Amino acid sequence: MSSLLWILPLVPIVVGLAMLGVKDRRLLNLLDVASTSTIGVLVWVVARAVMQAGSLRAVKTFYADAVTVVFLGLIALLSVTTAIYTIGWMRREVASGGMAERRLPKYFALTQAFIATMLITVLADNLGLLWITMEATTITSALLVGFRRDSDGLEAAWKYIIVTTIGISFGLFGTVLVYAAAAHAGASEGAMNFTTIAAMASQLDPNIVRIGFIFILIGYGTKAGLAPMHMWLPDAHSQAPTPVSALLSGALIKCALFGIIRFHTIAIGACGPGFSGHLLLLFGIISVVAATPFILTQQNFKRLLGYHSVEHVGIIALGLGIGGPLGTYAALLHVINHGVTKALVFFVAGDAIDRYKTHTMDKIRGFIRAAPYAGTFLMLGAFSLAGTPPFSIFVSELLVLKAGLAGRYYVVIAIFLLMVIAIFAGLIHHAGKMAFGEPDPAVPRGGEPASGVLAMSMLVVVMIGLGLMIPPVLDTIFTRAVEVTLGH
Amino acid sequence: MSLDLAAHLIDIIGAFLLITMIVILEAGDLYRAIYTMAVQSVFIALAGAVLGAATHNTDLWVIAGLTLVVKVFVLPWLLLRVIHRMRIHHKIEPLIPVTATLAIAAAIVMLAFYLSSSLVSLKQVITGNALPIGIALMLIGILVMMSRRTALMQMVGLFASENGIFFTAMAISQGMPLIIEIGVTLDVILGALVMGVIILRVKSSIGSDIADLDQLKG
Repeated sequence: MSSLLWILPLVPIVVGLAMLGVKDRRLLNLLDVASTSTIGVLVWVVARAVMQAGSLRAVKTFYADAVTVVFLGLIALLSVTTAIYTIGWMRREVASGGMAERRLPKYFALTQAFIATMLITVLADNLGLLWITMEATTITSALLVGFRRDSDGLEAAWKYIIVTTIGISFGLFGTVLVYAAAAHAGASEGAMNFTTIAAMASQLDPNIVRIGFIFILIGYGTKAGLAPMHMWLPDAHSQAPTPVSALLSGALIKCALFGIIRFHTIAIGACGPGFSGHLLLLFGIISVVAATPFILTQQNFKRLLGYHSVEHVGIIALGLGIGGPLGTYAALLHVINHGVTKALVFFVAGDAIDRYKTHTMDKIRGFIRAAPYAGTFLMLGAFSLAGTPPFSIFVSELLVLKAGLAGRYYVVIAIFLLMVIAIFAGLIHHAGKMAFGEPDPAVPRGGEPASGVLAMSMLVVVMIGLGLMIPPVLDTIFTRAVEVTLGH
Repeated sequence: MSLDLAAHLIDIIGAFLLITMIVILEAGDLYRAIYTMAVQSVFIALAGAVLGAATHNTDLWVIAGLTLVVKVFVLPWLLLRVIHRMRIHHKIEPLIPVTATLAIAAAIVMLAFYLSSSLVSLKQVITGNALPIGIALMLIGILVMMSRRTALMQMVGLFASENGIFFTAMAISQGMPLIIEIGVTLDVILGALVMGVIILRVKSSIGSDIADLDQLKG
């Protein structure tokens, strides 16, 4: 069973290599869906095994516990839905000349490589390997961000690769420091493994771990899109091809959070919950505040969604920072909720941009008339992003609020509420103007690809389902993940 | 070689690393910056050899060899090729006056030593002054990137910055696991290739330096 841990990332690697030899678009789509579905099934099996055994380990460096399962689940769900969405999206792109047919094999193979690097990142027990694959996600996805080869895409790709590479070199330095602390405390075998370091966390020199955690938070925080290191994010997430945007915003920035969570656990063990918690709280509230004015004044649809990612990563950091079982639970739940909703609205944005041939929200009118499914999903997604019931984001935001009040973080919670209300008003205003009214006669009506509608429906079901009720199985996984995060 | 001698040598090498970093920082010419980065990497490889001899850790010898091949030859060669293909003038205009950047660099060095002096227990696991020097190199490398609006200079700053991390990592008594060092080095090469591809693509399709593009705002 434990060998599944290395078979899992091997699936997209093998399929990706095979894709390089395939020229037919339909076959590429089929391979894409087959590979990601296989990942979905394997993740399900791994999740069951982890729930039974507590954790799984393979070949020293691969490891899965409940936290891993949460992130694996998100990556698998978004990979499958993105693969399905890509079928219809790619047909239109090729027809409209946006994507040259001969470059398709490269696009699909890179996407598989990108998914593989994300999977290894969350499966890595060795913190060095975690860093290596996290940097590899940047390299594979930077090529995808600039895939269209136009000047804006290349500019975004350049900013993305240069800023996140320098950012996560801070992460490497932090990893080196924590490793040195473990070496000093007498660890020899596997001194770079998360499990080894976390188990001996109380013996680590707290001063070293503090400095190490600051480097980690700046480093992986850059990659996660925490303000003020977020400047590259709206560029990269808006310029990437839409399916890639969905994976970047929905899954990749969460992988960086996974890295932060691993070191948060170590820091809690070495210096108590206060130090890393307060830093996360600080960066969280800065992110929420910094994103708000850009969300309110934004004109570009996909950039708007990029800034929303900064806001929601901030909310996750807030949950982790407030801490305790409730705050941490809220943060982990929000990882899933935001990922699902954000992928959905990026899919919607992809359809709208193709239909109206513009990124400017002012020029998009009557989207529900033009595309009844995507238009409706736009409103549902906007209400969810804005944090209204019965959608899942409402639940996790409410939990953050409850945890904050219980922890007496009144000022932080007051700022948080103020921003969320402002963002609510701005977002519903933007989305309402796009969804309602009469579309320009030149805008094509109907003709929504079945694959796109299916992919979006899957995400909507999860988005509303988790808003109404958290199934007992998921609740158990989250509760266990909270225990692992807090080092119990 | 005794450990005391090794610590002494590491400090001397560290001084040379800082000097090369200052030369890169004030370089007004791309070629000089790239050659200095190559020289700096020679010192990193030398540090690996010294530590390998002192600790009898053969992994460090491999890492030293790897650094020599990758950072002294492959990366500079790659950068020079990109320059050649771009046919650019290699004078670089700094955004901030050189005197100001030098003052900031001096402040960074003092800050790094001050920060490290509070980490007493690290003195026992990291040889000599490799920690403060590593931190200083890393931060000055970022300063190089921020003070120049030239894509290639930003890459030089990035690699020089990474040299600082490598230096500290080597000096930890156990050394980084070899397989991890190899993985990190692989990332550096792949990252450099992708950056080179992006730079050349912009040059050939738009005809400008990618660092000059600023269409994406707000």
